[in-house]
Amino acid sequence: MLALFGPGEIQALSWQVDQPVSAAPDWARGYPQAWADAERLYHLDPALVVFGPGEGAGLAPLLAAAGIDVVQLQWGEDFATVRANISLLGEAADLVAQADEQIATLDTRLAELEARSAQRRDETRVFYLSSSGGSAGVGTYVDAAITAAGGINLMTERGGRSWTRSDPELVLGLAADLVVTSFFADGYHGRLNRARYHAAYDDLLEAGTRIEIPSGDWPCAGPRLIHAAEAIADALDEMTVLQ
Amino acid sequence: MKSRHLIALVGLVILAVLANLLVSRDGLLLGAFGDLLRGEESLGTRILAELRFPRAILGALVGAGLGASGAALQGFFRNPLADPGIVGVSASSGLGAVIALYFGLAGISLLMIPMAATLGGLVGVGFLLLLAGRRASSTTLILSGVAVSAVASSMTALLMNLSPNPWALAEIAYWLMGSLADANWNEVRFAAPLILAGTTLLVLVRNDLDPLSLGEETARSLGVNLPWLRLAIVLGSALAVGGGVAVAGAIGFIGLVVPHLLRPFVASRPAALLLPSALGGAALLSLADVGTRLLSGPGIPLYLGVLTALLGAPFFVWLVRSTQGRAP
Repeated sequence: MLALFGPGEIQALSWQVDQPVSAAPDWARGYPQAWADAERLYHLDPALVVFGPGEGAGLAPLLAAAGIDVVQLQWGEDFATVRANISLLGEAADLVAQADEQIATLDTRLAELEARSAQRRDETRVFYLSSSGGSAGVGTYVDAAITAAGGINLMTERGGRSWTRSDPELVLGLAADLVVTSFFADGYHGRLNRARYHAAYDDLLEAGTRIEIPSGDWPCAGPRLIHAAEAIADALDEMTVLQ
Repeated sequence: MKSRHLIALVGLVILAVLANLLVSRDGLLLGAFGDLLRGEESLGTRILAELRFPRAILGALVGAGLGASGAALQGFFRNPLADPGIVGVSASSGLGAVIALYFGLAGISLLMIPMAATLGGLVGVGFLLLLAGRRASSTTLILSGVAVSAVASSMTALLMNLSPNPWALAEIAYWLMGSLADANWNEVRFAAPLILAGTTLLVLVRNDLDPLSLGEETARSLGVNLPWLRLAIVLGSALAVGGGVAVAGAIGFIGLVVPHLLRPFVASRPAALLLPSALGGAALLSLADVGTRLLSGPGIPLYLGVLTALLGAPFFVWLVRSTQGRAP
């Protein structure tokens, strides 16, 4: 939404817009909030409602009957879905040219990442760790960002699928070249914070190179995923120079 | 229980704890164990010293507390379906932990969850005793326990409902599924005194359970101090189970299943069942923990409470069916 629409064109945003981990600009944080509730949406009376993946399926006929257009974003955790969702939004809002421009910019940045990756000689193993102790294997947007940056996702290499949870034994035996952390530094208040407090995580967090990716760069199939991939690539380039 | 059965049970506990210590998906950590004994340092010795030892100790302690509480409560209530959940301790401890999780107290220290869970269990017991009154019969106590459980469960559901975001909800839900995967020495230091104190209290009053099996009036006439026994059973269970929930989350069915499995070996004497149930609980929970480790994928744990429920639920169904003709 924020990639395609400006301040005067948005009536309401999601309930997460004012959360500490949101990447929304200041002008958007005070906007009215909307959620999948027919009465709320009737009250807002927008021209177009954008639902997240799996949301609002039962509301679409009601909103259509009230003359409100509906678009549902696709679920996916890769750059292909980022493109597909920008395209979907562009078509739904008659902003096809702007959407195509966004997609072209994304593709250019991905190609640049690929070129930078080709210049690095060594394979670099990257491990993602959230403050809860969870990591991310194949099929996650973290895996997509690490791969696009030219790194090898250590969790995927160890057989991890999808989103994984705290596993001190696994972590104790890992040898990561780069540790990518998130949700440690930008105001996200986790509930368990295993990675902050369990001694098994200390070596991983303190020994090697570590970068913290802003939590707001991780929306599922959102265009800011490229920021995360570029931040990882920057760290990988720096490590290559140091070598 | 005959001494050879008791020796076999002790042997089973030792084997189960050793299995919990040494078995992993990649094989046995025997080499690492040897290194540890020789004082050599390696990844395996770190896993053993920092993770497996506390995990194995907690597994045995939590299981022992649940087993002993189950036996004591079944004896006290003279009801084969009684388990630690029936007095509301599990639900109250769970609520205490969820309050700590909801308000982000776990961010202060990981021990905040165990402390909150224990406090929750004790508050639950206080509420139970207040509700049941001083001269409550076992039936009144059961009903009061069901009420405490219902209140605690509804409050837990409310806090989950009001979770500030889906990730917080997920963390609370995962915690409630029960696990020893993140066990550490601080948790051992915290939970061990509570569980041991509770289990010891239950063992000390166990002899009063035999006369009680003949009925409350008979027990009273035989000199059993029923109010004191009730307080000791409820407090002992609260400490033994609350201490376990505090570090491992909600683990069901151990307290129900173990006394049933061992009852035939003690000629159905409630007093004789307590110690074997503690040992049996320690062995069963340790083996279940080994099972979760073997069945888990990398970073995708099978939660201990889920596995014990999967194992215990069919047993519970069988138990209900088998008691149909005998229940009042």
